[in-house]
Amino acid sequence: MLAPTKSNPSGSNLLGADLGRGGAPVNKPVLAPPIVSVPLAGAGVSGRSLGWTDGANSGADSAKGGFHMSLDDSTDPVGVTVGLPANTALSDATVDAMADAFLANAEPAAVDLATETPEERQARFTADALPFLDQLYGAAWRMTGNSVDAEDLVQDTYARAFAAFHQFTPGTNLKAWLFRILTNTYISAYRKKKRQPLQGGSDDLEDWQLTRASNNASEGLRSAEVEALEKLTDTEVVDAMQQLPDDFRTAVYLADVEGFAYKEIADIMNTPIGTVMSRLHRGRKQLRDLLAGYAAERGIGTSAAVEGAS
Amino acid sequence: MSCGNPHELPCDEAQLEATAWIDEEYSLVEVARLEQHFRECPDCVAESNLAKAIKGLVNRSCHDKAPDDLRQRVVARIAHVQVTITQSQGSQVFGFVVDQQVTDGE
Repeated sequence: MLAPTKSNPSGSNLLGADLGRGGAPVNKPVLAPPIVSVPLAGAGVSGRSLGWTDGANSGADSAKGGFHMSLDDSTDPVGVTVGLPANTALSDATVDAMADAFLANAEPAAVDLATETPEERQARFTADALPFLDQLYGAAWRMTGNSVDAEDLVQDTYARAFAAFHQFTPGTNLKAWLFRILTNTYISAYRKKKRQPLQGGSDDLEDWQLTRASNNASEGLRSAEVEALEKLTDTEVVDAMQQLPDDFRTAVYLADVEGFAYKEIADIMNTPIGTVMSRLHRGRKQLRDLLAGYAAERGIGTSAAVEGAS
Repeated sequence: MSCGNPHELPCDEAQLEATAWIDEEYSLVEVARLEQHFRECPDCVAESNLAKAIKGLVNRSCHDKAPDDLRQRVVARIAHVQVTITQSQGSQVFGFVVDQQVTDGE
């Protein structure tokens, strides 16, 4: 888990500066309260792991929806002190109880792989892996671009995962493990089937196509653009996502929908963390250009946005 | 994109770091330097706000629910894999027995 290593008391407020002023932001204090408020699924979508919170000091852990584990398992997966008020005096009994709770949580189900029967393994796999069905399906839909292939991809992923489940170390990051199998299965079996609007080595893909397509629409738009973008429908956002190159779309999906940390995305996509960051940066930039184009087409936005688009 | 003004942290690097900052990957961000850049560069503040808004839009829009019958099909598929594993283990044993019988028969 990547915990904040530097305090950032200004937190998300920093980026809130200068919005809502129609792009005349010059000497406004940077630490003004955020005006942008992005409605996010963290609240109100149960079972989803990401809760992007707009407030400062939301903390990396809470933003990742309590999804603590990293693939290398080198970090404490439980964080027994989380939530404990500072300076709380602890009795020995309390410490013992916390230690017990820690151990209980650290090994929620002590599994003896050597003696586990096939039936027990199947039951354990079903109980542990099936709760990720909706999330894997969502990712599969984004990858394949249609529900039929997405359903097949999810079934193939579960079949592969179960066939390899004896290699999975209980207590490590099952969700990331499943997403990695999903990604590999997609690449090996489905990717070539799919028509790619923006085919090619996406990390080397020039942005010029998108820039050319949407330059007129996006230049000059700033805070007005944020407002305009937020008026777009979910369908339009999904449609724009589908136009991203595979690697960009997958990175954006894993980060923004599933709330995976960069380290986890790097493991899932088998790529360096720096590449994850670059894919997210460029993927969001391309999304923004696409969506700005949609907004301009539909005439969404403030008068400033319309002027900027013309 | 660059605002054209000189900064200790160039705009393109600042926007890349801002990506990590938006994602709360603070170990990848030199926060003080980035904050300094934001103070100097409203363009990058605006760009980062847009990136953050995009993150929010994606999160808002991309939640799918698997079809109701997919769960049953996955469970059936897992059971099928189980049978296949069991059969492949069994056939190895069976193959050994057959060989034995053939050898015995000869």
